[in-house]
Amino acid sequence: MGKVQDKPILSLTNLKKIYGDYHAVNDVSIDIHGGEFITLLGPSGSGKTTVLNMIAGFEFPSDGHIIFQGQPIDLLLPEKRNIGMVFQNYALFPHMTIFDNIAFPLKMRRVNKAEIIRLVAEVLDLVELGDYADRKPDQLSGGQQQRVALARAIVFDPPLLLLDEPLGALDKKLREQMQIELKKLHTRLKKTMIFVTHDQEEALVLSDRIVVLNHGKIEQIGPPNELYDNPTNEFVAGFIGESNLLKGQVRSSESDLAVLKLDDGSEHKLELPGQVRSGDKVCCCLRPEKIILVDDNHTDFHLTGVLEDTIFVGETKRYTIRIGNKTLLNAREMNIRNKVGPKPGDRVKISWEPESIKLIQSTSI
Amino acid sequence: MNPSAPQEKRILLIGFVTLILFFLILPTLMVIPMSISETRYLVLPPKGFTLKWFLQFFTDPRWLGPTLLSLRVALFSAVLSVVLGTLASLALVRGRLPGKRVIYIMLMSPMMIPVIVIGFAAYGMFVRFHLIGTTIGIVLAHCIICIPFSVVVISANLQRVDISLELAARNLGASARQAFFRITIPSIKPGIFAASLFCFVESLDELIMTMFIIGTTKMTLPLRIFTEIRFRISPVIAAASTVFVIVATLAIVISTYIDKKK
Amino acid sequence: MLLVAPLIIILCIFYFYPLLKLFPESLYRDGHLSLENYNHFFRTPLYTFILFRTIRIAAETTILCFLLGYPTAYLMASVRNPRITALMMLCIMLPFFTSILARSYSWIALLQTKGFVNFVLINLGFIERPVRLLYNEYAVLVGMVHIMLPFMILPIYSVLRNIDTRLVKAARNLGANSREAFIRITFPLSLPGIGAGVMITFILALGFYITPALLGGPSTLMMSTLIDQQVNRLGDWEFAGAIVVVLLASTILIVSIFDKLVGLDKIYK
Repeated sequence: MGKVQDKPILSLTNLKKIYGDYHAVNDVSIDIHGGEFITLLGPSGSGKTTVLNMIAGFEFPSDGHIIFQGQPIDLLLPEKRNIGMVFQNYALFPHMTIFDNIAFPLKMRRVNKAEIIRLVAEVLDLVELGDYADRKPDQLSGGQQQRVALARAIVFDPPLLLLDEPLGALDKKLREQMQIELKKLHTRLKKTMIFVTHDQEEALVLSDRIVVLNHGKIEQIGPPNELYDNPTNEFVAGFIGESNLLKGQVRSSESDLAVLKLDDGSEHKLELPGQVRSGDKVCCCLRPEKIILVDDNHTDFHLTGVLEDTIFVGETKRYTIRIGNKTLLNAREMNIRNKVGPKPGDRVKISWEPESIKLIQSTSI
Repeated sequence: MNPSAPQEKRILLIGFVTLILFFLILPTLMVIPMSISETRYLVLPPKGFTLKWFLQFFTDPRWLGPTLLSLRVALFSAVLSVVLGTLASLALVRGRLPGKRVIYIMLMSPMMIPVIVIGFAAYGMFVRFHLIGTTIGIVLAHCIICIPFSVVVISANLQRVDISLELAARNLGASARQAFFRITIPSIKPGIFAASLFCFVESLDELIMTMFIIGTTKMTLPLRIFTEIRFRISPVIAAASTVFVIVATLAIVISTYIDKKK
Repeated sequence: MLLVAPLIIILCIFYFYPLLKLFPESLYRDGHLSLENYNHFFRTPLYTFILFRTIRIAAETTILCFLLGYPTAYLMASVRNPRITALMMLCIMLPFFTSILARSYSWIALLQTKGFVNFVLINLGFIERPVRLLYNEYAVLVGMVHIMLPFMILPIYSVLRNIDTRLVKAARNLGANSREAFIRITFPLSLPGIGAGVMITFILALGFYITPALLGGPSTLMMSTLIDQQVNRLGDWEFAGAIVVVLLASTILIVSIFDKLVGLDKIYK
């Protein structure tokens, strides 16, 4: 975790970007503190890149403000902002050598020659590409280009670094390696970083905080574990990790037991968290790994269902269980004991720790 | 893209470019009002409306004959250039022949050498083969000029066609011939269409090669216009020019259509 | 190999072989081997003057086309409304596909003494009586720029359009203002397009016949019209052959200079 200072380094307040009658970004407010690694996570079209473009100065907000280091910068030219950016597909200048690419921001800042040579060498060492200064970008591998892009974005020591899906073009293995390097770099440089991705796993691994965006709006902001354990709505629950959703209406509620009528028509007696009243429409979120399949003679169970399918995935087994008429639940179990599990078609009883089930906002209500 | 680009500079650029576009398009379209006005020269505002110049263009054998010959020549030249160009492109893109680069540059060279040089040089050969004043002679001469365009367009198209399509066809039991006619040719259709169109328009407007090859008995449309401009400046030229503008418009419409289909 | 054969045979007979024969044949004067034709060309001030005038007019055409064509291509590549792009493209493609003869005819009508340009100039009060605008070098230049301009715009446009817009954004983000970003990123990256456009325009202008023949006069003879004059009016094929060789040699020289500078391979793409 980065040091959290009192005053945010960057504040977005009620930021909007409207094209015609399309709201690309709709009322986004975030405070980002110095040294934080914050991720804007969302599917394509969620507005995350537009937010980034407004911070970098490539687009002007239709409404709202961007305060950077205490100064409003909504209308400042991009070249005056002093914010580093790593572009998707890197945007390395194809007609310049690696050295010239990295020296570019320094030349624009009229840094003297000796200093340029020193700074470029330093940053090339940092990304371990010291021997590649004279090559052209197309003579480098994807991973190397990625590191050059990073070097170019940090060589002028900007207090804030924007990263627009920088790992998207790399293959899976290289991507995981670069995630680790990026994390190390963040710890070492103590720079504030805003990272944009649609890959929830990447967001969970890298971030101090995640901002989940959808249709131009913020769905939830929080540290990764909070977002995973306590998603506030259906979108976040579905976008981050896998989840089972039980949607329906509360029929009756007595002390801590409620009768829930699912949308498929079946009724189940359940322990629901929080206060629910008869007639409430609710949506419950239950992570697959929190579901425990219990033995038939067990009495402490929450639901019964029929096992539809089992998939063996190495370290885990995945079960698909049908409860009620057509509601399917996914369950995941570590493959620790070599026990013989239930077979497809068997009736199974499932259970979970009481705090594992969460009431969340349903989008369809 | 760039919100901070100074607006005044952009407006200045837009104004400048608008003038350039007017410079390009106005003289091109001006032949239309000229062809339907009664006066011999264009006066502003155009006086009267008449179709007599068009009528003369389509009935006077001095115009009609050359027009029909030009159309025939353009059709043959387009077909011949495209057939030869397709075969050559196949050899150049797919084949494994030595000195590909040299052959390619040789095929392209008519595009870079002044037509008057080619016409002057080729004249002797056309005389020796008794091709002066023959339709086939004119077609051949036009083909020399059209071939580079045909090869450029078709080989560029062929390069974009994934060779694994042909391999897949072979793997699925097609003979080399079948793969060629069922897979390769259909996939370079847009290129073939575009090349035909280009060669047709190019041949229809060709003047210089024609001047050397045509002899004394025949007349093509461009040559008729050229002599008329030099010696008479009759308003029928405006009608003929309008026909060319219509041909150009059709060419653009068709090529846009081909692009959209792609 | 067989596929390319028919084309090669036709081109060899009617194109390569005759081209190769040009030089040896130009060495004959009245049936005797001599350098007389070249002597005559290079010793007569008028002819060398025509050679330099041809090169000068070709260069002027190329420069004017570049000055008019680059901004056009640049604007067209930066316009985001596809309808406006299509409209601009139409303004370029329609002249491009329209007969050169038709367009030269238009210019004659525009520039003649009773023509449109004189009409406008008189009505605006710039001149009192019609001026002779035709049959001089300016008329040739205007006509040639009009015909060559699309050949300059199209290759530059196709290169500019394919430059990743993120590169300019990156330059801006790294501290370059819009002018610096243009000078250091956009312009250098568009050089291949400029190379192609400049070469095509220059080469075409060098051997261009129709416009000088129709819009120019006796005082604007260029290499191509000189050849025509020697062949069709004077019937001196042997001397004309030498002029053709000089024109061909200048063309090849210029093409090979461009090949060294830009690379022909890039231009064909």
